[in-house]
Amino acid sequence: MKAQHIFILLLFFVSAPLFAKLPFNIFNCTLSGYIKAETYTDSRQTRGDEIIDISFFPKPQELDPAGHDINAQAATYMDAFESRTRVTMEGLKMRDATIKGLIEADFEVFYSGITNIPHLRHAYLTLDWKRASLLLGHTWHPVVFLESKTINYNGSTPFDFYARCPQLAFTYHTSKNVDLIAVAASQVDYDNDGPYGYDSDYIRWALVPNLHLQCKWFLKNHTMSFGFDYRRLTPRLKSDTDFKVNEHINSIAAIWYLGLKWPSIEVNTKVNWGQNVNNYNGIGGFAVREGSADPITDHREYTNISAIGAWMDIEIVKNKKIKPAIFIAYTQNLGSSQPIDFDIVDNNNVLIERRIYGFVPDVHNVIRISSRLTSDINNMTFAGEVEYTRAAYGTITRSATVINTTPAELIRCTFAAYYYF
Amino acid sequence: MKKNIPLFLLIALITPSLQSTESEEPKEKIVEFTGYVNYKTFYDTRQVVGVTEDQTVFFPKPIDCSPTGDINAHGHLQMLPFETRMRITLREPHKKYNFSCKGIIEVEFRGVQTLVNIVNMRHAFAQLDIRKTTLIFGQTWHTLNVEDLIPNTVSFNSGRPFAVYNRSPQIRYTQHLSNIDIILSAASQVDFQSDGPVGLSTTYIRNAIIPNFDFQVKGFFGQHVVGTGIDYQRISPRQVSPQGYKVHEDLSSVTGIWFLGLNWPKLTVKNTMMFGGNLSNYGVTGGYAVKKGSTDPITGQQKYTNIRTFTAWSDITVLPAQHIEPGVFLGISKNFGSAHEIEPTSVDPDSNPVLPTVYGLGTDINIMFRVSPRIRVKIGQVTFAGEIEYTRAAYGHLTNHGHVIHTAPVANTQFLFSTFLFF
Repeated sequence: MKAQHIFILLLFFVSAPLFAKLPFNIFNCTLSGYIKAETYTDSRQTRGDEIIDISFFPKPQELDPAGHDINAQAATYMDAFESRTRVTMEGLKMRDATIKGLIEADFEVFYSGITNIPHLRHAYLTLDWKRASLLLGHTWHPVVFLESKTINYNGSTPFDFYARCPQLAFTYHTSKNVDLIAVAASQVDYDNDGPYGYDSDYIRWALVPNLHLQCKWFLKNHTMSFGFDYRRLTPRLKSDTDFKVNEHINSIAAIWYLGLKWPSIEVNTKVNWGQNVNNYNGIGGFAVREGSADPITDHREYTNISAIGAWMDIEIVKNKKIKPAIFIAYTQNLGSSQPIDFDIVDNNNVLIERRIYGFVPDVHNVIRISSRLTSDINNMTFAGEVEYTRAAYGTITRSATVINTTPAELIRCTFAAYYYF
Repeated sequence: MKKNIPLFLLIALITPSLQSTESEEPKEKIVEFTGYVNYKTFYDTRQVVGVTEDQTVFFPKPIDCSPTGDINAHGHLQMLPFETRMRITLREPHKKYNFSCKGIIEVEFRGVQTLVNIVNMRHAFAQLDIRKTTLIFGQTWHTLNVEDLIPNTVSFNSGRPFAVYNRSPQIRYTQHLSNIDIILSAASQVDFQSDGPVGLSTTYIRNAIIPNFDFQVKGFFGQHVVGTGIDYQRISPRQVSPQGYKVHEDLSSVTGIWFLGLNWPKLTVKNTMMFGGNLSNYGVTGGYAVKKGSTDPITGQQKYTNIRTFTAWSDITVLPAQHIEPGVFLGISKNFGSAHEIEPTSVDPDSNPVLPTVYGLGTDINIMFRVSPRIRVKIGQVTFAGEIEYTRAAYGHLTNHGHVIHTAPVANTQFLFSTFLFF
């Protein structure tokens, strides 16, 4: 407990060197963003967020008494809620430090049935010195390499990690084109699943922030990075038998990415492995360890369900008027290192109590291939994309792997128009 | 009909002032865009009663005993960005006629109820200044939430549950006499709602038909301000009883407030005392309960009685240097129970309430106090702030008169670090 108090007190005084009287100038505020209108057709029912705009992958087979797959039903949609607005504040200097602020909102909301309401994407301030920078606020989690270039607004999920979070990030720029990044973060919007559903309580109760270390290299326009992530959750404070319990699960993740930029072609690729990464929109989660529940206190121990994902995006950018590209991705459930308890169901297979938490733990692997064509004309961009996704649903084993799979396939055709301002 | 007479009088009073100026053309228009980006990280030593990811902490949760210990004796740590806010101010001065218009729209990303990171409106009002009269219509600070005396805390609770925190849709009339303001307002509820049989809802005040009325007198001497006010609120908890009968149920509550704000160049002291019933919609502890023996055995209609609360707080800000601004907030509140006996809440064998008869915020707390020292470091448009907030609440059992006895105190300490970038 004392160590946490000291940590917080240290935060109070990190800004001590800034206390001196310093000269200032005035902010420049700029407004930017884009309006996006899109229409898309799915060959099958999908599962995702924000209605189904963020389509992760196809829903599994659901057979009716006549043997027909209920989810084998196409659908067409139109929306504009990816449109976004950004206010950037620049131009303030404090001796060597440059200060910048940013607020960005779109109209996609993370709550079922609520859309078209302004939603905060970014709100942060940065202090930049020659060799270091400090970011405080809500923005991309450092596990994110770049926002997906696909037209479909799925952020490369569930193959890539995708999250924004409130954070305190410190970056040290070494003299050899290397950035060393250390981040302490929490969760808002992108929460972990657990006994009470998706909630930020688990990380708040764990007291330790999500910690991330990253090393990023720059060579001309190219980038490469390696990062390590640590997160601790407290799934419950109170057991089902009303005992106070002290439960924790520690999870780690690692990322590697490479971005190559030439005048005529851009290649971005990333590999991410992690335990309990459903808060990053990855597949997997955690489960109650088999036989760990205390028969009196109901204190439980947990085990991670791991997953690995990889993707590559290749885009030919020589001609701005016609930019073809292809995105290829794969992700797989790697299961757990320890045996797990299964969800408790009644005789009619109705769920009584969950023991497995996370995103689609019954999927073994998912692959995606999507090709797109974009055309930039002044402030307008027109884009079309065809995306094929295949997910293998199956039966969860004691080690949280998935066997006896049945694939479900989806083709999404998207057309979108952007107006940038 | 008689109930609506005060509202008609108010409208009649302001209408002539408007008629004399409505044909004038605006001479110039000024639009300002302001706000700030905020980042907060905080650590609470105990589980708390709070809202919006516990960014707004009211008080610590009570002891929840289990054979392995107090379940709520567990801290939590969070980082949040959604106090970030933006404001648009429009001004149209008409200097020649001593008439000016002002409009303000302010939003933040706190969200609504448990939904966070989405936009919610804080202020949206128009203000007409006509000679010695000011008329405000729209949503802004409630009259009880005296703007000159908002605690300067770093925490988003702004002194709750000791200080009033409430924004309401309203119409407010202010007459500026020499060094004295006389304020009349009629308000309703949107975001800050009363508690009742269906939980927090605006239906109670809406169904009562009469708006929430305030009368306030504010005196100015130098940079200082002193004032007093009275607030009247009526709610209608139910329209239908569990037996299916239409019922006519009302509860009237009156609140008095006294305040003193002292503003010297190097020191600011804000003080407020308040006493009233059913204050939960103002962010203050208290509420109301079913009056004992008042339930009609056939129709189920019942009467209610206020649970009264006294609060007092002081907020001191010292300005010793240009960039550093230390301060402290001190608050105390006490439950003064009800003037009538209250109906005890019936519970099932597991001690869970079957049909609640007491509504409000922290009605099982007798005395609560808070000490929260803070420091702000202001460097141009950037502010770094730290605050340590200690809150101690004495939970206990409700007596027949809504008093709280056999108390067991619990305490929470919050360590808060916050940064602001103003634009």
